[in-house]
Amino acid sequence: MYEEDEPNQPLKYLKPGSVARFREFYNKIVKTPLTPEQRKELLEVFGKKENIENTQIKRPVKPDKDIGI
Amino acid sequence: MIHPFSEMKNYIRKEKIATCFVDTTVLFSATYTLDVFNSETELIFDIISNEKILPFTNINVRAEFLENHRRVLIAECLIDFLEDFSSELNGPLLEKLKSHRTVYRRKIADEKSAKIDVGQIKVFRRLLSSFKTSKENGWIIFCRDYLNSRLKPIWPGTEIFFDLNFISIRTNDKNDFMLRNPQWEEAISLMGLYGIASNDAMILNMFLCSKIPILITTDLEMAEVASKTSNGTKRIFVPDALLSTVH
Repeated sequence: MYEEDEPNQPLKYLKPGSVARFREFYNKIVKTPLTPEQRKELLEVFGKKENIENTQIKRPVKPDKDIGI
Repeated sequence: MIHPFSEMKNYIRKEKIATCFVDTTVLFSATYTLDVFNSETELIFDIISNEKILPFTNINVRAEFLENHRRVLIAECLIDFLEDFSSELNGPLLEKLKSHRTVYRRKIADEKSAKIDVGQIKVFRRLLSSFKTSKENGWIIFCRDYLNSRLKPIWPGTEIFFDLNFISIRTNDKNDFMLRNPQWEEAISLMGLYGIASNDAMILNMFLCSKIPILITTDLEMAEVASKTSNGTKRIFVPDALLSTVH
């Protein structure tokens, strides 16, 4: 699976200081500020309103069958 | 045989080792500063670099590595989401997010891994999904706006900075680093005989079918099964602290 993603490539040796450079890169992967459109959509979805999880789900009640007793 | 990391440099020099296999645990540990073996794995990559050994891995390692980082990032993104919208949220979602933040902050203060459990991700997925627009549910929107842009660069960055080589198993390729093509039945046998997870079995089977003489891992179970199944033909290196727990 996905082998075609990795065609034979020239062999690579690890360069000195790779971990430190990765860490520097990783530390830059931070939250990007929400755009006004994203914020608006998130507010529309999560803004204070009745949350389905807050609502007690009521089971539909079946009327008793008249079994003729 | 299982050896501590501290013996690896001498062993490589003495035996003129040219290749090694890095599994998910060691790669993740080196890239995540809160991992318990982070300092030791960082030194191991220095040795790999200084001794000019070719580091190999495979696609199963890549998948597991990304799964670990997904769990780290979802934990962080949930807190960012709470900080952004705490005044707008209410009910069980707000309570659950606050509880998550408390646990997260405690782990960070204790310098422990802050990866979120898969079960907890499912709980948040259910809670967020219960909020909906006409087009999407809240979980999808959360992932798109918070998680996606942070997860996407992880693997490309890992490939760039770690210079990993992949072992291919395509039958049409001639691969100088393989003894034989791995068979699915062998991986199943590893699962059945040693009770290891399927992904670990596939990674280990790939290593056993290769000519690569060294496996580097921080997973003791992986190390023990690798040691047992390689019948002395390969060497397994684990953090000194990990090995000391079994001696």
